[in-house]
Amino acid sequence: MASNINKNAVNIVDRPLPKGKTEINLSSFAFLFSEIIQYSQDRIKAGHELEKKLSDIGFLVGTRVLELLVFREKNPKRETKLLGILSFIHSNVWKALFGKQADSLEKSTEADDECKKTTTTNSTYMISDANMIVNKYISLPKSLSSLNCASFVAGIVEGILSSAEFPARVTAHNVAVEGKRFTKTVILIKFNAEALVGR
Amino acid sequence: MKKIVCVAVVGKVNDPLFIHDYSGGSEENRLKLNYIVHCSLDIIEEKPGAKKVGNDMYLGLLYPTEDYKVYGYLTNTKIKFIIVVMDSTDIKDNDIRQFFKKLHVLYVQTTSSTFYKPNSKIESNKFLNNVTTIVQTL
Repeated sequence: MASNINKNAVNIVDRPLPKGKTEINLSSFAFLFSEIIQYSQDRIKAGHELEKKLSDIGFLVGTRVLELLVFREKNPKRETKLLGILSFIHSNVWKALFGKQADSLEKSTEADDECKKTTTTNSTYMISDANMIVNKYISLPKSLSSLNCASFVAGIVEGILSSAEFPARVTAHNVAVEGKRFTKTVILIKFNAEALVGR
Repeated sequence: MKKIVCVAVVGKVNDPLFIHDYSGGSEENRLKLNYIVHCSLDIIEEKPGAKKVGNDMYLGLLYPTEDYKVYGYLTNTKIKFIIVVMDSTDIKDNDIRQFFKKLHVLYVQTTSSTFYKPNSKIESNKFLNNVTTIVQTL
């Protein structure tokens, strides 16, 4: 019995560190995020600039998030494939930032006119999420109904893509879902032509 | 005896973000090291995609010179780490790999700082001190 105890009793300083919670309070996050929005709102002239401002802030987050998350992967590697980096964002990045995977990652099937003109191949992808955490406590006034504060998240995605050398234009949109009261958020990713060369 | 004589971090468009000479030599030697690091950039350009390297960040031995060996590492964001090692010392590939890993941690810590502008020169003293520490442990 005595030897048994000795075996299990590891000195407290030798024990591995507990993993600890990686999540923070939603309320503290919502508070900080609302401050970011207010800060941005004070520094713009027209309404549509707010999305740009939020996306710029997200961009700076994105460049750092990529460095950090890639390093934390078990087998870090350089991602050179378009789908590789997109699924990395869809699963790993979303999990690290919001604690869950994004709802879906799709290639846009609508070949809109703009797409046809500029490139021969369709280069638009969508990541959609029904309950975006950043939008949880945000209700929009009528005058700003087209605004989506997930522009911040779009900025993060843009930051990640651009520092991984896949230049793209990323925007956030509200999309109504049939039979649901709330709209879902769609992050629209349009790759620049140079990101598609040779792929 | 110190094994590493030079550590360099090179940015996206081949601009030096950080370069430090650990040889303690003369000005002339320092220029020589700068030149060696510069030369290695061409080789880094060719390496990725080669069968042996694949998607691994560690690029292995880039090229040997008369007195030194040059090793490289390329991150996801096209940031290059280059170290110059004394040729006379016997050094294991695995140790170099470990060293780059540590260097990468330090780099990530530095870029995560809110006050660091991405792709600008690294002027943080903390980074320099930490790199000096890991250089001495190798």
